[in-house]
Amino acid sequence: MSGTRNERKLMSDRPRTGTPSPEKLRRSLAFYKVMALIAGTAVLILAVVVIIRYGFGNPGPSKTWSPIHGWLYMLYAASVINLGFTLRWSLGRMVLTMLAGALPVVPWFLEARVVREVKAEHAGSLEP
Amino acid sequence: MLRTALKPRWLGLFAVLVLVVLAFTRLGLWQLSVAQNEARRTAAADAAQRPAVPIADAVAPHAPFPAGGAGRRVLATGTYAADGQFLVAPRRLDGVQGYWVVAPLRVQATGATLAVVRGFTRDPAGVPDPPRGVVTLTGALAPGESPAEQPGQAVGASLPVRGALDLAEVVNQWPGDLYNAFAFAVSERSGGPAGPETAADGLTRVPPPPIGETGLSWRNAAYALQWWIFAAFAAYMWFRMVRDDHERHPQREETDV
Repeated sequence: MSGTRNERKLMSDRPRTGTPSPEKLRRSLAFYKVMALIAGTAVLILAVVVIIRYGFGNPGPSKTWSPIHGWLYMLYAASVINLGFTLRWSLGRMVLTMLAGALPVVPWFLEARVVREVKAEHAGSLEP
Repeated sequence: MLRTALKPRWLGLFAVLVLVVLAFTRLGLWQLSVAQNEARRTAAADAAQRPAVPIADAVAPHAPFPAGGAGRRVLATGTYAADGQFLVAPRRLDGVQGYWVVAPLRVQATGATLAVVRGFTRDPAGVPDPPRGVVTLTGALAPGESPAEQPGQAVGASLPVRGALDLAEVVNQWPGDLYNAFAFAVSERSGGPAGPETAADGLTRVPPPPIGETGLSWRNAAYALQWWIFAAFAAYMWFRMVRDDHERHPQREETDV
């Protein structure tokens, strides 16, 4: 609306181009890598406790783990959103990557693919 | 940025966002109600776990209802007086409308009468007689109810129908002393406490209602919170996408001022 506001925006440190800052990219990717590993493991544990609950009639472990898994999944989703906006992913890709976090083990393989892809596209940013 | 948000693409996505937020909010509310029900169930299970005490240790005839006595499991040995039975209506159990069946139990130790909710029935014409002979009742204590409007006599009912289990009214109907409490029958055994359990004769036992605040099950309350946080995630994503689009393709908003 006013010129001063646009000028202020131009000077802000938020990148206006398609290339994220190396620091931001490194941090987003590191957060996502950790959460993908945890999410894949968490669902695996969830599958085991659900089998213990319905297959062996012992609801104890499931009652303990399910809520923990809920919070871990939420962190995973947050890490996907964070990385997705940094890499300018499409909405569809973000949603699919988030949904993949609800499957056991799958996030591990997806994580490896994402890291490979990022390394190819942003080789310079990721070198220490 | 508003102009960017009004692009058809973001408007369409906004409609999706509204649906997602509504759905997640409802799912959260549903988990919240589960949280309340779970807490109630846990409280009822805890009350059921506590050992039953002889009724003499919990309440005396004519004495005021004891503090903390609601939901307490008591044992009372005595005989039912079949001709004192009555129904209480309208009552619901698991969403079904019906009647409470109340019978007077003459307690051996004191000679006083305890009002017992033997169970729930939908059929006011086919109410079974209480068991004959000496019975040992395990019941959950409850204070008498407040008076309520008298319902119309049920079609075919062989017993009087009252609007509430109001002990001040009951004391005029039943002879002798009365306990200032009633009990929800949990089980009835013929003879002493070790005797065989008698059948409820088609009545459904009424689970004692939870007393006071039972709180929330923290587990389901956390699920509710998570649904709402996911709704916030969705809103944030829409906002971020619009902002990113706006920064890449600024709309010349000053032109239309």
